[in-house]
Amino acid sequence: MKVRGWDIDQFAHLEDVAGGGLGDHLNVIVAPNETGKTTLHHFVRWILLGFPSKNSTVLRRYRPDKADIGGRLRIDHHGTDLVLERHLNTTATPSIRLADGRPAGLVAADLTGTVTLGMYESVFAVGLDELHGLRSMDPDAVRAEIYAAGLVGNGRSASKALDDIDRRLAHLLGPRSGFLRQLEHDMVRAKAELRSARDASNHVGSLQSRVDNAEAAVCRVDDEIAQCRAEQTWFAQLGAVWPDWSEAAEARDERDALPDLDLGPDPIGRLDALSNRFDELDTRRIAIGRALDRARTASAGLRDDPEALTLADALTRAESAIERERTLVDVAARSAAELEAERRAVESGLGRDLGAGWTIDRVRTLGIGVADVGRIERAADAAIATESDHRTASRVADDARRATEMLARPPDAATSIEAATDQCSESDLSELSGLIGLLEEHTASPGAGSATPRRGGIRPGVLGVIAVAAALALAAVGALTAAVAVLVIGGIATAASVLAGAAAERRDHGSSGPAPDHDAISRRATTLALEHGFDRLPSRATIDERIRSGRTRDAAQAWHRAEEQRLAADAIRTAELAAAARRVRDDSANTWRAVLASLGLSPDLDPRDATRTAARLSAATSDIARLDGDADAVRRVRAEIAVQIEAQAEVLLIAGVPLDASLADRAEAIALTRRRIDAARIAVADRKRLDVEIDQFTHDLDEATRLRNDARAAVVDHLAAAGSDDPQSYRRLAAAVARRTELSALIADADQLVRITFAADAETAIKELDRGRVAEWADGVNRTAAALVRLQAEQRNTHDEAAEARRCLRDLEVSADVVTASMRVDGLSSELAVAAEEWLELMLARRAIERVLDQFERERQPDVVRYASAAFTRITDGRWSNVIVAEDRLEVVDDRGRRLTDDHLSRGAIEQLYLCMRFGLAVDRARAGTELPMLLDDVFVNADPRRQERLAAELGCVADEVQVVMFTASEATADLLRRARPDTTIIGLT
Amino acid sequence: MRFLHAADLHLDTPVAKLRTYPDEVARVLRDASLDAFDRLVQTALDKRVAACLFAGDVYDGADRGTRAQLRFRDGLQRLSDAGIRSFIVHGNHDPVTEGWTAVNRWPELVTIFGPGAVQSDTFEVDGLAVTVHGVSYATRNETENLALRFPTAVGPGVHIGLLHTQVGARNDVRSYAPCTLEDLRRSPMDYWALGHVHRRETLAGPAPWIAYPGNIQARRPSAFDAMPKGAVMVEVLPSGDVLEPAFVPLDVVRFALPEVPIDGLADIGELLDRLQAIADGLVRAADGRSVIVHPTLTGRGPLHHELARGTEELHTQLGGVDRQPFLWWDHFVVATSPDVDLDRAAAADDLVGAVLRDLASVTADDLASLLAELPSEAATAFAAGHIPGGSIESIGSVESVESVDPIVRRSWILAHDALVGGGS
Repeated sequence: MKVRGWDIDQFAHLEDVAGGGLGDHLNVIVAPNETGKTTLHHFVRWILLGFPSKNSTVLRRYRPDKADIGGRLRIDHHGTDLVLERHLNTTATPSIRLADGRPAGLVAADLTGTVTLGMYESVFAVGLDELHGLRSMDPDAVRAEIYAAGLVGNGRSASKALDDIDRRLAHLLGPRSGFLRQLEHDMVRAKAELRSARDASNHVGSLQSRVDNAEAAVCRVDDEIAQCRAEQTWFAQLGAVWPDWSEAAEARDERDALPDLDLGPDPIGRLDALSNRFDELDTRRIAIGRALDRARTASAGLRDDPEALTLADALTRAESAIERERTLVDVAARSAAELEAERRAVESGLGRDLGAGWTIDRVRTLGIGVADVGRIERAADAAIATESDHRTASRVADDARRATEMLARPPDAATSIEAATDQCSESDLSELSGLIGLLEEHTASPGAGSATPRRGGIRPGVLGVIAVAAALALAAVGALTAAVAVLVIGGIATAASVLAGAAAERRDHGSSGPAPDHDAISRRATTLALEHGFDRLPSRATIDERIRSGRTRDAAQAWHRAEEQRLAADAIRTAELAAAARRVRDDSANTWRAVLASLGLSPDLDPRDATRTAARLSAATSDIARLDGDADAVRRVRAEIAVQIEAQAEVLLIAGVPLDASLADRAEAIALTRRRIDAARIAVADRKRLDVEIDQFTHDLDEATRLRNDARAAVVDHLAAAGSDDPQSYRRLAAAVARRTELSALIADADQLVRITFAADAETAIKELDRGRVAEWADGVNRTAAALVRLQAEQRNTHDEAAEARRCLRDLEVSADVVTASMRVDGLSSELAVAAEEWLELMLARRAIERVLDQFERERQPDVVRYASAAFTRITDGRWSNVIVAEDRLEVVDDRGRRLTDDHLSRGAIEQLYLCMRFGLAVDRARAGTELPMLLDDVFVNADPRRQERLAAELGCVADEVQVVMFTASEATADLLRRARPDTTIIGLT
Repeated sequence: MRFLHAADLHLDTPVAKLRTYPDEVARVLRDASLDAFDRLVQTALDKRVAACLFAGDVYDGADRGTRAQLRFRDGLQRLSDAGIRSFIVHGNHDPVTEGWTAVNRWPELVTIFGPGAVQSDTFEVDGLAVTVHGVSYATRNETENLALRFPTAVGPGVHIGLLHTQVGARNDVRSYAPCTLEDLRRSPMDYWALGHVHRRETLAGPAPWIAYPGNIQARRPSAFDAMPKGAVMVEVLPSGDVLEPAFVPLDVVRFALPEVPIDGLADIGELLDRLQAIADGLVRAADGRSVIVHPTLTGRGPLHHELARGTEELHTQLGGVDRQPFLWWDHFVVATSPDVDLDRAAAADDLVGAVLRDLASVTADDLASLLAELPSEAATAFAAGHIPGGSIESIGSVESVESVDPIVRRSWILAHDALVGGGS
């Protein structure tokens, strides 16, 4: 197989790079450093044989950001062009296609045989890495490397393989240690445990019986103890209840001797209560009688005042009248003061002292006049406005007048226009223009006539210019209106000129029919021209200008007339307005003066103060109206005071005070009378209260007497119920009855104690208690206590025995866990089987490798070494004449025939020997049928120039057998190789 | 009326052939057979069956642990308390005359058929008379055809034969009390409740149905046991017609032996993904049970070299047992090959080829001589698993190279890997 070229999709920094043209034998790829030679070297290696592990350092170097590196190699396989493609992530299994893209139907092994990447890199691909590696190794390692390369020619040396296997074997089974021995040990122990468990399992049944028996004994002893405790309790309880029971027996005797009466509950208490009730009621009756006596005495001591009581209503009216009169006097006094203050305020409002003659009526009259104040104010406003209008009207009239005068004197431009146009009529001029047009058409050649310039006349727009000039002149003198008028005139004139021209053109173009007689036209035109003051035939433009000027003049005159009329009308209307204003002003002034006169005020009063004065007058008017109301009130107060004094008359007469006494005296007399009446009223109230008390006390006394009598009867009845007639005998009887009750309770308690203590056995216990064998009971307690001590000791023993038996059973069950022990044995057996199997496999492999290695050392290796030896001799130019494999190392023979170990070689020589070994291996493999390209990466770099030359020659020989691709940065190396082999293919990389 | 037919409970039997495993797994495995029996009892209670039939090998052997006996008794007590009858025959693993008993008194509704003559017990369900006929093994080595002892004529009602037997000649099971289908059909049973064969199988039916329910819990990671285990539920119509037995899974732990090819896998991560996918599928299929996976890695690929160095990393990455039910990855069997054609390599004229060719000539004698160098327990364990008859001495006389070939093949791979290296 030979590589022809490459297509790199992505690999390290190379992307979409293609190259090729490799020949069958020696190829040199020359490129400067850092251009990707080593990268391309690895690309070819890995596309051919597959990528190394993703975790390998060398792969990571060529795989940035975990990219899917890969691409294609173009190869020649036995004369067939193929494409071999690999990508690390997506096509780990290579695709092999024909050059036209069709599947080749081959797998990678068809191309590379059994060679793996590791093997290829050891034999066919030699890079700087390997050479550098050699340089950094210790001598023994170098020797081993070279030995391995020469001896085995595979990925790893056979000795390394054996070392690996031995290491694994030792892990499994060393002389004294190893996994298998450990398992063996565990297995022996586990089997012993299993046997023990099985033995124990056989004893479980008997031990279970022992446990059962022990537990039965425990139950029996527990039962006996329970029975003994019950017996002991029986005797102890009999002894315990005996004192109560014997006391109850005595009580029963005493009880039977006491009377069996039912006095009800607490007879003595009830007797005492009834007696106490009687005493309490009697005491109360006595207290009520005493209170009755005190009330009657107090009532008898009260003094009556009937006259005072009859004055009560009159006094109330008199007190009210006095208060009312006092209020009225205050009101009257305040009204007088306020009236005076108001008068002064009105005077102040009018700005003058009204004097003594200023009465209410006068003020009212003034108020009526005040209503005219609004009219006076409006009249004053009208007068002022009319004055203003009058001044405006006068100004307008003056303007109108000046405008009229100005229009009566038109400026020079307008005069000239008028002079130029007043000699002709528009119809004649139009006719003349038409005739001249016909003449021009008739005499002029086509094109020339229309181009003939028009001469003479006034050009359109001149009037406009004149009009603007006139307007500016008028504006300069301040006659704005007139200036506006002139501007309008100019505009109209210009428009008229344009319109006339347009009309003439329409006529020109609109004429049709047979051509008129030229001479007649000429004569007529001449006549008309002369008639209108032209000294020769004018141009049409001149005529048109003359027509437009006429029209302008007519329009100016018409506007002038209309403006005169409008200004005249304005003047008349303004004059009328002024007259009317004057009339209003005069009327208003007269009205104002009349008002002032009617009010008696100064005629010089400024009308502008009218509003302020009117407001004052209005306020004064309302105040006066209110004061009129207060005066009426004073009159009503006085009348009322008189009525009030009448209301006091009755009281004042009784008190001995005259009716016309001062208000203070009258008030004092009424107050004294009030105190007398109050005293009389208290006396009346006290008597009423005492009367009520007397009635109540009398009633209470009767009730208390009745209750006391009832209580006495109850005591008597209570004694009688027990057949007793006095309290002492009753008390003795009641005590006996109470004692009987007490004894009955004691007997019942003893009975209940026995029933609670003995429960279901109570009847039996009562019978036993009635027998009263106290000594036997005490003996029973002692006897059962001794039995209990004995039984409890026995109980402890049986419990201990049961616990021990159970513990033994538990222990035995644990040790008899056949299942767990079996699982352990079984697991160990599985592990032993697997480990033993692995050991056997390793041993078989080891022995096979040993056997074959021995055979290779004897038979196969010399071919490779012979080739390497010859090559090495040539490269060193006979410095070293032979290479020999001895046992597990290499020896070299120098040019003097000395046999030396390879550590006598320099580093450079070692590298060359290493290369020679590779050459020999590659050739050997190629001869054996595995022909793969040999990739070398600048391997001459450490050789001197002469050896480089010889290395090149040697490589040329190798290239006879296998395709060689040399990667180098040196042009000299390339030249060296080309000289060594002229058919060398040189390829440059950029 | 319905009844539950189970056999080969092998209560408290150790789960065998496992290597190392954590305590959590050991606990479950140790109790697996007992827990499966508890499930049987609960199923019987839930489904309100009229009877439970146990067709031999309730216990695994003469050892008969106390735990197994008491657990069995307790389960039958629960059934009896619920009015469910239990019928039991003993088989070759628990013959009547061997072993010991920790149970002196069985629950009320339990019938244990003894050895010798076939015994019968009749009960009535909804007016239908049901008679169970059965016979136990007296000793382990019962070689007589016990089927022939069953009656050839019976009265009205439904008749069920309960027997631990080997029907027909089988290579994979030892023959105890062997019989044929014809022998069974000779007796007019409506249903034959058989035991002894651990693989569930319905041999014939209907009229009569003849069925092995299999064992209730798998016992070892073998292809034979890598399937659901349980009992069969049999429905009897009021007419007396018996319907086809329906399988009821009862096992608590299942074994799976997936073969995992590494072809096309680039690295351990991809292999882990594939294993995880397999695990997910197994967990789903196990329906809430724990699973023990005993995978075999096969195929060719770049992963081979990494796997050849050991599978500890796989165990670490796949994690331990951190939940119940668990999925436990047992020992990985690495049967992968490097990404080269070994046959082609063996043909090459180089050292690797020569070594492989040398290995191809290994004989059983070579293996035997190596075995002699092994410690005795290791050699015994290897022989038990690889040599028919299980003895080292017999390896030399083995005509078939079946047991040698796989070892030689793996030696090839080992030698190739050692010589060629891992590819980088």
